[in-house]
Amino acid sequence: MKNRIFATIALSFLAGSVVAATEAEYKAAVADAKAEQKKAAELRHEWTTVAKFLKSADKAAKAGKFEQAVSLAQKAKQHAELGQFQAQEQKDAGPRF
Amino acid sequence: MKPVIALAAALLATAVQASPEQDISEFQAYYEKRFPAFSLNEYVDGAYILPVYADGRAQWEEVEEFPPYEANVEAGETLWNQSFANGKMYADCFTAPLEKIRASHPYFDEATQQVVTLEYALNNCRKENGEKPLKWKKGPIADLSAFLAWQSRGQKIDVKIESEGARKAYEEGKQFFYAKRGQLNMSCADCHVYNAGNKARSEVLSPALGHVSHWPVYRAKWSELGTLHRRYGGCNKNIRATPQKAQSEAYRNLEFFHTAMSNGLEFNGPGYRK
Repeated sequence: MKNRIFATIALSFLAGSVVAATEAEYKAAVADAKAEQKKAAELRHEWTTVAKFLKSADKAAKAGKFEQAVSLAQKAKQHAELGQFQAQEQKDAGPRF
Repeated sequence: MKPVIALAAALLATAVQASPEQDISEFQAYYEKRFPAFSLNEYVDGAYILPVYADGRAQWEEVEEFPPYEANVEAGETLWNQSFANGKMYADCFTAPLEKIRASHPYFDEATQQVVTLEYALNNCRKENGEKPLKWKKGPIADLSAFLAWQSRGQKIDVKIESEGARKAYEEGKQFFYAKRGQLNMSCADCHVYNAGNKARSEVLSPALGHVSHWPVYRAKWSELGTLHRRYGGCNKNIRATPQKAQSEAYRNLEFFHTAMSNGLEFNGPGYRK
């Protein structure tokens, strides 16, 4: 019986620490994505997908689905970086008649 | 030594860059070649001149007989004739005669080193007279713009790029126009130059030449009158690019370039579009 109680306590601590770590990861992923989003916006090459992914990430986080939320925040970051890459690629854009 | 290198680089850049006159000539020649049946000024009617739009044109002509923007022109006239709290009026802010106000915008203001569009000038006028600025995309500012556009019908588009500052704004507008953006990786030119007259899903892509002549526009999709910058924002969203703010420097520079490309065509605003 004692062992079972210890096991339950140990498991709940473990579960708690996993959730806490994932939430922290989510917050870090969002901060990263927002920093890249800001850079893309300054270059006038932000994609609308960035805000959409961040909104979905927020929704997932509020539902406690941190793994999904982290994944969505990472997608937002990726799209923000792609916008910056696009800005660099297109800086000398001109007509192709 | 450094200034010499900078000067050489600047000279080289100028040598490589086409002049606005060259740009305008090549831009208009492109459409003349693409659609040889139309004269330049016919482009002020947008996609409705294209054969692919033949049925739509008849419908559009009917709408233009009793246009839905008539009430906006009247509302704009009332606003134009109202005095501000300090007793002054919009007319006090403009030096051009009424029928030339629309046609004298956009222009490059040397004092502020900024492009001044018609709507930007109207709100500057309000601010200078202690009034709250109007919202940019629709409502009273579009009504005022419609009234002034109505007065300028038939006036020629004649954007002047005569200083270093104006040239810089023009080049920024040009880069914005030709740069691919958004998740769909498309530029303004991809749709409205290279694919003008082709369809994107069920819609015909309008030619960029003549785009600016008929604003503000009463769009059936909006069920109301809206400004050019409202449309810029919508276009950017369509390609999944986060729009710039209406009357931001980026969009004002874009309008400067975009309007210059139609130099020589006539203003025919306000207009009706699907």
